[in-house]
Amino acid sequence: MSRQRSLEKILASEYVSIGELARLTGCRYSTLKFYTEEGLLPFEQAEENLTRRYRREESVKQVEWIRRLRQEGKSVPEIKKRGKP
Amino acid sequence: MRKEYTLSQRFALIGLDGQSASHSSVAKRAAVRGIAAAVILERFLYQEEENNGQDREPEGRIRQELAAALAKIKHLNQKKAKELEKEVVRQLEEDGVLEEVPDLLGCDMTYVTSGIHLTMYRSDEKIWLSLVEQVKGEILEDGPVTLECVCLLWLLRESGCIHEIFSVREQERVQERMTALSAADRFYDFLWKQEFHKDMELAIRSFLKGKRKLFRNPYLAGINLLFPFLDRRQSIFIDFVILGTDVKQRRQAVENYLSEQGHYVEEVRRGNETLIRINNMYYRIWPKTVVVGRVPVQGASLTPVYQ
Repeated sequence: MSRQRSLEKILASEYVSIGELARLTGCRYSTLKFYTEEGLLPFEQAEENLTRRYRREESVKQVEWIRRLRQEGKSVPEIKKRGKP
Repeated sequence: MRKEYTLSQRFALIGLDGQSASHSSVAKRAAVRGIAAAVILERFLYQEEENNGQDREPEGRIRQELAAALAKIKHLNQKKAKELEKEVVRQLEEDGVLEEVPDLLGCDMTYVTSGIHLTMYRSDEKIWLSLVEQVKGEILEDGPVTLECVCLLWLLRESGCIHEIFSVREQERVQERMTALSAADRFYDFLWKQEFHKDMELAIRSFLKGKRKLFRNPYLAGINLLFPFLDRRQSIFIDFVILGTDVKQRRQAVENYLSEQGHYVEEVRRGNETLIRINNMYYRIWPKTVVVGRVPVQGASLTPVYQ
């Protein structure tokens, strides 16, 4: 029975879960999951069955960058070609 | 979401969203009972923190008190419920995350022509999304699930909000995860077994269970066709001239009308159809003609769509 981390703790940590990333970016879980599966959002996983964790700063920047490009009308394959911000 | 909200505030932002502010309804009463349960759970969470999780047996004193307090919620009287609603709404309105806007139901032709003014609660779109997506991210993903997330899920289940947030497949995944979590943790098992439904609502639910099986059909591109046990939203009819218009123009007419009434309206493509997102919820639009007396009135009907 674990407890939810406060925003202060989340902002001080190096890694975040997908739920916490959704909270930080205001992005939908399904969208983040899709970006992850498309390889746009790098994650780390200690073992196959363990939770995926994301580097907080990099991931938030990456999500904002993807969001900006999407607003400019770029498709996901086009963003994939560009790779990183 | 930059502010830490308490469990009851978080639940209120989800549970009261789209519910009538000016009138009482079964769905709103269920949501207010949920807020009352959340207030009790907050006390428990605080005690758990103080005890550092020592009271973990199901027979534990705190848990017994919790069960007794939750049982009383079923009989929460109207006066207390109203006071609780007012208090939580006041806090959230002060923070600017909940507002009272004209009710969507008030845009229905019958209400407009009757001159009845209805209002509803609307949660801040970003906060609502952030709360919902965090819960989804935790429960649908493999890995640990926090106590706050399980409490919120339980409150959503008990107040009939779960179908507005999770799709059919997601609901099955939630059930799977909760079964596994309950087997591993006695408190989760204890909480998941608690109920604060009204008996009448339970009767309606068991009646609808039979119907649910009939309508459990995954067509229409993943749209949830399960029958919710509480009707939190209604279909509305908006009258306008549809003769000579195409689908896009009809959609535009509805969108313009609803925007004028103060609602946030957005078109959302889902598979091969276009839905309308009004405030935080989805609706499907159909051209319709209703007969009033002997006069046919043209317009469009908006039907709630669940995730």
